[in-house]
Amino acid sequence: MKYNFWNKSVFRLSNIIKERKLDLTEKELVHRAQNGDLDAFKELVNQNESRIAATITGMIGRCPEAEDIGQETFIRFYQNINHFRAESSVATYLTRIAINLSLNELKRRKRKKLLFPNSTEEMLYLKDSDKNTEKLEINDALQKALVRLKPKYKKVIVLRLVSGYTTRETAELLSLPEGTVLSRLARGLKKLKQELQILEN
Amino acid sequence: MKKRKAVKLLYKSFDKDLTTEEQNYLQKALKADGLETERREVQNLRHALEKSAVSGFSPFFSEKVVSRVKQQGREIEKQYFFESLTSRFYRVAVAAAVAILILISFSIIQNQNSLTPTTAVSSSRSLEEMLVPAFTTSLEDFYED
Repeated sequence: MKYNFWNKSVFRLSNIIKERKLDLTEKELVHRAQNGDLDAFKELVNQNESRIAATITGMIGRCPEAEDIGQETFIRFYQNINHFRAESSVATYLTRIAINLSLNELKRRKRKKLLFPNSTEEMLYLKDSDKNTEKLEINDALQKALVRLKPKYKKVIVLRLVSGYTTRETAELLSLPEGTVLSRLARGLKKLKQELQILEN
Repeated sequence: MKKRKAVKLLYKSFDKDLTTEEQNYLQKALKADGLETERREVQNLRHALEKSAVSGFSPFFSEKVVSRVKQQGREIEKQYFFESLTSRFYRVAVAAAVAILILISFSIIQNQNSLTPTTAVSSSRSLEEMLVPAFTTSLEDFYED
């Protein structure tokens, strides 16, 4: 009888702790992660995974390197977590790291292409919400067209349309005026349309 | 009506609210310059881009990240241990080297101090004194007993 009561109360207590953990705000999670709580850090990873995945795959395509860069993004965040002062959101901070790492990857590819012109980059599909083949084909074509775009247009298109940031957030992330973001977005979309037409032909 | 300005307004209209004047200009252009197709194409492209976003990386992504963090933590601890060991060893080695140098210099000074009077004495002795020991026992000494 006593044992049952004890078990039940422990179970209730653990549930309360779990519920409280789910209710924790981003600031609290960061604070806990700064004190070495890896569960809090894991929660931050779970909360931001989709946005970072969208940004990285938008920038470099759906390739095996995308996940490595994703992991590297979160690891760099953890390494510098004590310098994080919550002036911006975790997502913004992580996106900046992801964009920089993706640009490094694009530079690496460019160098590789110069050294080995015949090498081909392996592309594969990551976890996708849509299993529709037609949509997968569209996504594939979009990815190929995006990869061909200049980084300055790609960054704006990916952040604004793929990752879902607002124009103002995109401008803040890239340290650009809003007007420049809008003009690059327009020019980038035009070029993307042209690339898609080339691919279709 | 300038088509270029109308296209610019068309792209702008997706991200920013246009003024009434701009809206009227665009509406007229959409009808007159056949920009309706362009508008639909851009809208579809934007929609496709929004839908193209992946929902995440491979399964257990967060677990993989956390395990890498733990692994790195262990490596950092190891590195820190070896670094502290080498820095400590370095300090011990320097201290030992200094101690050895002090000991050597001390012994050299001691030797010099002990050698100086003996040479002075030896120089004052004659060759005979040096050859004949100062305390010699002769047969007579035995017989006296």
